[in-house]
Amino acid sequence: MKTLFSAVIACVIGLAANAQTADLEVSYSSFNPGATDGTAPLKHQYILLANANESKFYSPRTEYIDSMVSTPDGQQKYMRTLMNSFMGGKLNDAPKPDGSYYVFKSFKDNKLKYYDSAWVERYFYEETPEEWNWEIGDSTKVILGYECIKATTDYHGRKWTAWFSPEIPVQNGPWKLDGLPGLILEAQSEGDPYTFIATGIQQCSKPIKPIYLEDSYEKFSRKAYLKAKRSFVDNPMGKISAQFGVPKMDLNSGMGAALKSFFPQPTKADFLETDYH
Amino acid sequence: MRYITIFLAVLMSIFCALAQVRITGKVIDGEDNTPLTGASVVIKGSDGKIKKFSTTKTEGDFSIIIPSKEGCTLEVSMMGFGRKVLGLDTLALPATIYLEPGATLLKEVAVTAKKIREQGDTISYNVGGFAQNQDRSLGDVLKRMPGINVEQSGKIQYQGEDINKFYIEGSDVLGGKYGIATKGINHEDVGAVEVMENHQPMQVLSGISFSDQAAINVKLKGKAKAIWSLHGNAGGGYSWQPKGGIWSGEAFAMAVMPKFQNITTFKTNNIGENLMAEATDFFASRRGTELSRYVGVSLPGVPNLSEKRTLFNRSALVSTNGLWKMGNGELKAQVDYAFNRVQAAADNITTYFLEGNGTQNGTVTDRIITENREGTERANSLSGKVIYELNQKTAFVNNTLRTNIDWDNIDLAVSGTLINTQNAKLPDYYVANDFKLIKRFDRKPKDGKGDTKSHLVNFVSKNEWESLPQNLQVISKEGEYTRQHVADHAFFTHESVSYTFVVKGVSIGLEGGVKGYFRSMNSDLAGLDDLSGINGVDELGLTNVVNTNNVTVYASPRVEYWIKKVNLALNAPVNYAHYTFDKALANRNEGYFSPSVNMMWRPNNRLQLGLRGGTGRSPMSLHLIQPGLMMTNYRSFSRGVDDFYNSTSQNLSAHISYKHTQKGLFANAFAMQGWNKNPYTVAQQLFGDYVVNSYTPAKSTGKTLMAMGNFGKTLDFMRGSANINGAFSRNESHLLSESRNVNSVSTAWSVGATLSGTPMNWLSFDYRIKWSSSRLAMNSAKASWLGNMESELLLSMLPSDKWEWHVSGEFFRNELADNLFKNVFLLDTKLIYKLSKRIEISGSLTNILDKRSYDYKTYNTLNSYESHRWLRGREFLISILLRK
Repeated sequence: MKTLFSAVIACVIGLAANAQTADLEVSYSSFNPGATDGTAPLKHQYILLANANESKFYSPRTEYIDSMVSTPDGQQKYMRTLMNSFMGGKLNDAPKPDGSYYVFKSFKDNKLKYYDSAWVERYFYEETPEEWNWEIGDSTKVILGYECIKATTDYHGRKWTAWFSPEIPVQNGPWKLDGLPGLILEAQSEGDPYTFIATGIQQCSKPIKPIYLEDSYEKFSRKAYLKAKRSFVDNPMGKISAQFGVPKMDLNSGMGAALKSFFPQPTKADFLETDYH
Repeated sequence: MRYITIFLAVLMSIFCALAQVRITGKVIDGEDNTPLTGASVVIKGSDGKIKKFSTTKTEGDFSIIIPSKEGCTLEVSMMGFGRKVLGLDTLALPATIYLEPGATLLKEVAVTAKKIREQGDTISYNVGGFAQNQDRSLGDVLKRMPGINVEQSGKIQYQGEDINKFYIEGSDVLGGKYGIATKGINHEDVGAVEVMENHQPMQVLSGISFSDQAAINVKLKGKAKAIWSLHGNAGGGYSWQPKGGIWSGEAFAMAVMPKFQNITTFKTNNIGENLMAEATDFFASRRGTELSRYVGVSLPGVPNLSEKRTLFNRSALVSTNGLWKMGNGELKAQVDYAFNRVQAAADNITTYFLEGNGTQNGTVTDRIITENREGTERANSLSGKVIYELNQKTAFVNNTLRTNIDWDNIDLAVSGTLINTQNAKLPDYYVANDFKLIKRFDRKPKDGKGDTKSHLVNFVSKNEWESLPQNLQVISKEGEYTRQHVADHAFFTHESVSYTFVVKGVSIGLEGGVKGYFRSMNSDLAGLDDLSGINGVDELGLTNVVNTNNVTVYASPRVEYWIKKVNLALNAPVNYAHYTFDKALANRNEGYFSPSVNMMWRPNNRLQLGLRGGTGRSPMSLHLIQPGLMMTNYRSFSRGVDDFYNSTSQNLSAHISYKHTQKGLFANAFAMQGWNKNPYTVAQQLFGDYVVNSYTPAKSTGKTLMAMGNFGKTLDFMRGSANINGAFSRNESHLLSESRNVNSVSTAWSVGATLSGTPMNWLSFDYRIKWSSSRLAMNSAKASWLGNMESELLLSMLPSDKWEWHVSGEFFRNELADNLFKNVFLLDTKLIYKLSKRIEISGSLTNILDKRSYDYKTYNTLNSYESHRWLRGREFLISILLRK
């Protein structure tokens, strides 16, 4: 028993020691195509923490809530907060997650880990990134004071236009995008306007912490994840009814309407990757 | 020809390959001579454009092929190192490039979401200083303040980010609809505008907040303004049974003032909604006073059907909730009053099963009592609550003082075998104070490395007092009175401290405390003269004077740890209690130990298995110490035990759950088996038409088995789902009936299914069906299985944005006796017209087929019960809903 504990502790220490330190922190505003009712695009805040070998792209508010619910105490606190704002009729006050996914890249191992969630559904996949086929253009524009060069590529069903800055010697970018000789400060997809725009950049020395509650994510293949999320987004109440045996709620009236803001917003647009159909 | 083409092609490719140049090299840290991985390597042409690029691999190596290196430059850069630019024309290959450590000069732009700190600074602007003559609204002035931008819609941004809160005098009245304020408020009413940077509106998140958004607080001049928001609906209509008018209405008002908020609700109806239920505090824990009523008079109800079908009521609810902000703390006060008057009538036949005198076949001779009941219950509930809460970083304090006063009057007239009227007055007075303190201790490791450890200590103190007087009066057909009076008071106090810490992955929780319980009960049964002649009754006293007090010291350790994917938790509460009974019984000292073990196994995130087991000894409910006879209702009497006993119990349960998210499959099952042993036995005796439920000091055992399961699947093709569920229970117990040992076994099962979907955008449906069946067996005599079936279909149609139409049907099929069924079909409809966002008109017709009665038969422990009940008839209701 004692050896087991020692082993566990050694592992924990080992992991902690392995946690890399980022030397660059970039914040991005991520815009998703508007909801079905034609309202403005959904905006989320993401952060890229990166060094030459590793990076993590995440939404700080989501991570904060995930860290909170990863302990029984925090979970209780979180539920109480939700309940209070629910009972008080102030659902907008409830600490809701912001952007839903995490992207962890390891350039050393050429691996990418992707975590996403939709309500209680949690998805995870790991992939070996394919070679990028960027075409560097001639146009330039200034973003956050950096002169950026335009580059385009096709990636998993969408055509992307990215603006990168050779002045920042970090071959990385928002979401899964990277592989350009400089940091990508802006990227936009053709068709549905998925957009990432850098809003801040600074040097730092922050640890790149792993995701909270990794065990709670169910492993998928990339395309299977996209299909599963599609099915949830299209039929959230069906999934909830099937799982918990509760009657189907009408998301347009009464209690259902109040809860609606907690579900992924239905959009006419497809996901960031569309090659799963 | 073909060969020539191939030859040329090969030749061409050789020339091309020859023309290409491979640029290889290694990038090394100039300071410690280690290879640098991940450095950016870019080759630029003579025009300065990027030709090719790469990054260095694990050993600092890079390799780039370019058509020609003439006039090209090689740029190597990396965060934390100075950039190197080298001309390729002169560079010896493979190149070794040394990068010198140095700051990469970034034009930094603050990463706003990064700030993890408490409330930011507050900047205050005097409105007078920015206002101009042409300004009308607050929005006009806000636009001129530095950093603030007001959009056409009235939406405000601060430093380019939307604000996350708009407060008026520190209170968030309008939520996201603050545009009403920016456009509506006259700037002359405003004294100052405060901008709170990095505002974290959620108290619970403060301290570790990462909000990058600002909030705006508008301070009004002099006169504090109360802004009320209101909404409500009112409906009226006609009902065919009970004949007459029906109503349903609701009003909601909310006021937010400086440091004060209020939400007030008023509701009333007579359409079968019991508003008492809405005043129930779902978060209230079980009362420590543990009093329960001896008198049990209740109006007949109708099982299996919802209240709205069966409740003949008049109900009202007033609830007001106030909040006052006081420094770091908050004071909340709530007052609720609810009223419900119910009228009910029922005709029923009760059959008591009595086993024959030791015959082999176990033939049953029954006693039958007919009863026609008609009564009114007036229930009132008044409750008040005062809460003070202090929410700080290092301490959390909550003190809740609450009181609850209920009074319940029941008048019930019975005709049939036993003609009488009963009147019960059943008030309940309860006062409690709960104090909770959580203190957080942060301990930094001595060597300054690693994470700070936090320890939490909880202290809880509860004090409760309750009085539960009961008065029951029965007037027989001869006009003779029988009265039962009970006075029951209890005071309960509980002080506890708990502390949790982690040692080498094992989480250890310790809770310890003291409990005190002081209760006195006395009762008096008067006017039972006509019963005194009945066999045995004189031996039973008609009064009770009982004091049951105890002081308990307890410790409740809990150990929990993970081994791979298995979680083990062990609870081992130890109690030491001293009981005193004011000389009526001998004092007792008792020790209780009731350990339990919980195991959970999660081999993967689809499957979860759990096992739980517990055993222990516990004191009997002190409520049962009742040597004298009491009248429960006009024909039942009860008598408890005259000594103090302990009982033992064991339980074992298992659960399994499986989910396959991708396929939309979900399944779970649960099973539990429990055993209990009591040193007393429940006995039932009949004196003429009267029933006496009592306890005799004879050992009794019981066994309970419960199992249930659920299986669900999503149906994505029609945005729906399907579920199947089942349940089974078996209860075995031994009791004494008419001085004979009875081994009774009740068995019940149910199977149900649901199906729902939205096959078209304008149409959705929900279908539910359930079968259930139960049987009671006593010794060898088995009654037959009696089943019920119920199903419901709800259709919703939305032909346009303005219209909504709902149709629902409910079908019940009940087995009254072997193969004798009673069917009931109920049909409802509702039509809604949305005139505007603020006004909605709806018309509903319930029980269109006008079914007015409902009959059924059920089994209790020792009897069967056949009944005829009334339903609410056809009802038409038209309502208007208004929002402000």
